[in-house]
Amino acid sequence: MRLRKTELSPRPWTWLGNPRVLIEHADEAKGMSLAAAVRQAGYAVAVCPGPAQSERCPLAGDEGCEAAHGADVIVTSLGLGTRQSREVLEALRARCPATPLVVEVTPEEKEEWSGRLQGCEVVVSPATPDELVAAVRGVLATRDKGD
Amino acid sequence: MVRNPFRSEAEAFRFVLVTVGAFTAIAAASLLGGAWVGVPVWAVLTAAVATFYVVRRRAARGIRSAPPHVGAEDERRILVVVDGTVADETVVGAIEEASTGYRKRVLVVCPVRVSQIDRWTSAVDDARAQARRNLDESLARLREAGIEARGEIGDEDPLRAIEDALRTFGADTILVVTPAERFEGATGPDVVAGARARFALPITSVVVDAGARATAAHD
Repeated sequence: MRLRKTELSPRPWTWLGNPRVLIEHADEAKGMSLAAAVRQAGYAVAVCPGPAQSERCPLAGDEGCEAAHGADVIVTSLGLGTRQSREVLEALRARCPATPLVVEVTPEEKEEWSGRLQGCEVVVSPATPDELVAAVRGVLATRDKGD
Repeated sequence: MVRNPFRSEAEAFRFVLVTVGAFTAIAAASLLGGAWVGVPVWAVLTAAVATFYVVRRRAARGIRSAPPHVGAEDERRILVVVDGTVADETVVGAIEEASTGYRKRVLVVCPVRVSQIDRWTSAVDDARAQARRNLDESLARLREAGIEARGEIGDEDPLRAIEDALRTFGADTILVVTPAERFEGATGPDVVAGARARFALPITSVVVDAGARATAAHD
């Protein structure tokens, strides 16, 4: 599928030279807290609140998402409890197949949606920023070994 | 490929309801006030709906980003954007608060605020000279308070000035310093709101009063 070029504001990845981590978190304060930990670990970050209620993630449409396409790792803490959040995960897997995914889910979601989580680095919520940073380091190390 | 403009069934249903409501309002206005009364009602409703969708679409894409931390683990880099004023002791306090428990490195950036009139009258050099004076005075005041800072003149767009500084300096926190008189107007809050919408960093608004009184509004 060809992506329609759209101008996103702000352009998310203007920082060059470091691995780029996209964090998807509906809770602004927690997302920022995680972003601070990820930055401290030496990664550039972008924080996305995910689609609002009744909104559809641009990644799931034909607009595409510059932040997702340009990321080296994507951490999604949107869970799998809603149709929208599951749609986001599906879109990430379909449209960014080479990008490692770290998915934070509840123990129940991990069990219920185990099929959809195959191939993802699963972190059980509530996860601390340190745990998520460790997961990011882990998937990057695995990716680098495979290169 | 035909692109569906609606992102969900719920959105399509809402659009139908809004359309029915709008046509009802237009018809009612035309019946009560005559055919031409319906025209301004149509124009107002169309503008309102268009504005709603544009604002909501922008809000839905609230992706913020930030560069990685630069420097040692125990170091905090603080970017101070002094926009049309001079740093004072409240800025000193905000810097100390933002760097509590850490070694600090401070970069002061003064955007060159060029108005349209400045361009028409070729007074851009004056605006640059004013920014330079603000920068020199701000650095001197910080130095008096024991804070060693580096400084530079920034882009005329404060948000671009911040982005430029983040690329080279890699700040952990941003202080936006604006004068009180401008804070009441459009510029100050716009810069702070714009920075908060764009950068995934703690951003503090510091409002400097002419009498060296100031207040800090934290993110």
